[in-house]
Amino acid sequence: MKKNVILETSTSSIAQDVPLLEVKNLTLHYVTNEGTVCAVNDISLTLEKGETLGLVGETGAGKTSTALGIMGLVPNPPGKIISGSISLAGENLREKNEAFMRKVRGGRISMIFQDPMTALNPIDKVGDQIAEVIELHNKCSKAEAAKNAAKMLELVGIPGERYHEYPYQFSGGMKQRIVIAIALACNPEILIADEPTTALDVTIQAQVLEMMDGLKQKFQTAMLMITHDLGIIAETCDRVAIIYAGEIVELGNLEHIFDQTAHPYTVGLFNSLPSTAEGEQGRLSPIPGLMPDPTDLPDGCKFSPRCIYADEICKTQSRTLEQIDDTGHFCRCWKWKQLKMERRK
Amino acid sequence: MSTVESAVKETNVKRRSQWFEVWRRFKRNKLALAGLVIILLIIVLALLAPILASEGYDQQIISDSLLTPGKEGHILGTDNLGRDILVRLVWGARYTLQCGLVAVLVSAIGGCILGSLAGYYSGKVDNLIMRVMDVLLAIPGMLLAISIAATLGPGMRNAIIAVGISGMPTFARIVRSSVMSVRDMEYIEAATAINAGDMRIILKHVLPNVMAPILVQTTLSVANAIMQTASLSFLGLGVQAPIPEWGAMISSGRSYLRGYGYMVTAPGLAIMMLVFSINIFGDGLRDALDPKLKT
Amino acid sequence: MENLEIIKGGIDLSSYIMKRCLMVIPVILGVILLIFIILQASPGDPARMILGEAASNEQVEALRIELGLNDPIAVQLGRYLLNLVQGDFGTSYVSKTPVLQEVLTRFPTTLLLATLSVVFMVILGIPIGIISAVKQYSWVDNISTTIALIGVSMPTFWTGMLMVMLFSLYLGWLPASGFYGPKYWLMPALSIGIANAATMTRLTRSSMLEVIRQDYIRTARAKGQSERKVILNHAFKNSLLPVITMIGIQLGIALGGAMVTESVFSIPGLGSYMLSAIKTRDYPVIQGGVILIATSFCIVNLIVDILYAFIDPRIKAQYKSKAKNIKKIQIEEDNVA
Repeated sequence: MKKNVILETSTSSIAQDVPLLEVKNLTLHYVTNEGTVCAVNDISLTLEKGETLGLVGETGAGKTSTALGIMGLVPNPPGKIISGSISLAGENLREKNEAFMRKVRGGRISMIFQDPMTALNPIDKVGDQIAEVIELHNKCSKAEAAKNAAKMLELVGIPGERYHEYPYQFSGGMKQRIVIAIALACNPEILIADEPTTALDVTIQAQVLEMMDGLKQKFQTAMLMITHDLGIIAETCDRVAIIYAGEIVELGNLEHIFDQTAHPYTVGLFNSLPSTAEGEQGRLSPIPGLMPDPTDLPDGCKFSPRCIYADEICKTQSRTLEQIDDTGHFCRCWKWKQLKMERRK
Repeated sequence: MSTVESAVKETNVKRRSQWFEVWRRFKRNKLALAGLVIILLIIVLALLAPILASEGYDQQIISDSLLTPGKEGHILGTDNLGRDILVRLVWGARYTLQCGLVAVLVSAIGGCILGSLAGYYSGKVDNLIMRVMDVLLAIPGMLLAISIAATLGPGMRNAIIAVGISGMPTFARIVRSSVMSVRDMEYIEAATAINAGDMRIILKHVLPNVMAPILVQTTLSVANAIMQTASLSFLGLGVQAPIPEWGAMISSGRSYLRGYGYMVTAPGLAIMMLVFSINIFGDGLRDALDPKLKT
Repeated sequence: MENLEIIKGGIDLSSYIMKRCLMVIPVILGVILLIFIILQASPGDPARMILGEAASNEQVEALRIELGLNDPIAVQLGRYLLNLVQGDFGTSYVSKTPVLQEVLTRFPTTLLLATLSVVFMVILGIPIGIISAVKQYSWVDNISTTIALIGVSMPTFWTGMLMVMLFSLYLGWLPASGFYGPKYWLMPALSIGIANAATMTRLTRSSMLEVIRQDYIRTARAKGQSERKVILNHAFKNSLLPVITMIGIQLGIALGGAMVTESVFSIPGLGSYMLSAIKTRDYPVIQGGVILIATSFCIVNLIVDILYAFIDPRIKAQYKSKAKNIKKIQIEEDNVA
């Protein structure tokens, strides 16, 4: 039912050994009056077709900036990509012109944002807002676009007759579904979801995540799931990257991250979760301190000021992201072996 | 007792530093600062008129009439009655400024009283006052001022009253909405709980917090009032000859556009400079008072 | 759980329009009352003015009784209102002709002047405002904001005179007075239009800046929409509300301030007619003129209000009627942070 017209993709002509999305050494700064904010510092990650990569980190860690950088939506007066490459099916997006990027946005990579209440244009009909993205990426008539838009509405669980209604007539959860409908309408290869359920009620959260998973299965969309909620990671992701102060500190699949946690920060994240298990009452143990000021990042390992294992090497030299076993588990830490041994005890 | 005293001292210090913060932010805006300087210069000129131009604004030397700028020591030339234009401009600053400031004083005081009453008491009082304001607003500003001025007769005092009254609804609206938003806040409840009288609450608690928008509106209104009194004088309904209010000077230069345009250009430029300075000062003030509103 | 009444298909807009129209009437009545009181308060005896200085006191008194000027104010007001309703705005003290006729003959000229000035204001002001907002803080923005501020600081009568000096006296391109054709309309309309365009630029700019910051603009870009369409279709349409309000207000100001411009350019419109009426204390004319202008202003505001409903669907919903085709749909409301 999806598209009855030709959509330009290059996936069919690409060799299978190139990852769908490859971000290499991305560095992004915001230059402001109060100093330069180093939001993203040398981040590299890959995304394969059909897989879901989770991006976990606290507020301000650089997750959204990374996503905006991939989409080419970084606001240009303050924001600037300093270096790095972003390859979609082998083609470096940073070398492409704006016309090419417009075809990518919404057509090959879509993004949905955190707050559904303000994400939709208040004076346009919801159906038209979906039809707009269809028309932008397909050569079809207005009527066909409208028909497909209505079908997308049905797909996200909203009656097609509500095409002609306006955003204010929908609740938060339904608005987010509409946002998802817009994002998936042109069957993009990648969906970037920036905290899609954070602003929603827990019960609605579950519904929306389930719906997203179903659509993802149906269209084989790869997903970059940005969140600070480890529970959502466990439910939806295949691989996970932990971001701290603009760097990836740990990367691996679910087993690596949850069972074989390597980086002290990740350990701290898990420890901060309140536990409902029997016999595990007691005080919460948050990670002491705050994330460093992005205009004044510390030398060496950026987590060292807060890390109980930190020593002189950690404070002066930062490590690169290194593979720590042969199943694709990466960690950026001098002390991970020490940590592993301590946890075994 | 001592905890109360120290708390009081603390709040006083905070209030002083709040205005200091505003001044600090304001200083950063070079353009607004320039505006303030120009305004102050004009005020100083106006105050010093009797000293700088002691011959007065109506010294007519017919034999010297209609001299173009630069001739015989008259920097801006003379008008048709031989009066030096620069001298008249300097004196005119007094009347122009006076008209603007006093008219706005009338608007502000009247508007604040009406707006506070409407906002604070709500209900019927609010309805009545706002309906009257609506009627005043239904007549376009200039027309209202002209009608009132026409009724009262010519003269500077009547022009000021006319412009003052036509500016009241704007103030009333602003004060009313500020008062209404502040009124429901908890510290007002607290004040009522300790039996503070209504008037006291309004004056001591409500008004200080609506200062910011009133201040900004005041500066903008002064600019507007100066333009309106100039227009009234131009039409012959305001300041009467020989008083050299700048609008009146433009009016008297009308018949001499051909060849003696400086009679019109000079006072017009003066008005433009003054109003422009007030506008950029007002913009800077608004940005300094609430940086979040900065665009 | 919240019940949202949602109307399928069309809205009963006529009910909204009627409600708004009804709200205008008390205001107009208030205006009539106000202007009546203002004129009553002014010095001078109308009867004396009609008959002139030479007339004897008895003649003046007789005329006063004939015109009903000795009756209590309430009675005079009532009589005036009654006449108004029948279309009788009184007779001019000076020309002895019916006020309504005189006023209506001249009104179209003033209306044309006001409308043209608004057209200039929109053409000049809005595009510059949009560009300033899009290129905020660039040199384009700084220059146009400063020029706009200068424009707002120039009295319209002075701008008019400057234009006359330049285009009529010095260059000889345009006529300095009269209102007989397009060449005559240009300068008067521009002199008002330029000052208003400056206000328009500032308003459009700040309205656009607020809208551009909104999340849904980012959504539009994430769809792959071209920047031009994002700015014009998404951003500009959402910033229209204050812009349209300002157009309405400026039209009213132009109508009210036309007196000044008509004086500068010797245009035979309602403004200059009223000006001479003020000088000769021709009260019926003053009253009639003010009522007409105020009423037009109210109608303009009414149209603006109605346009609101067409632009913003949320406002339309506020005024929905209890029409027969209301469908109640229950929607589960979830807690949104």
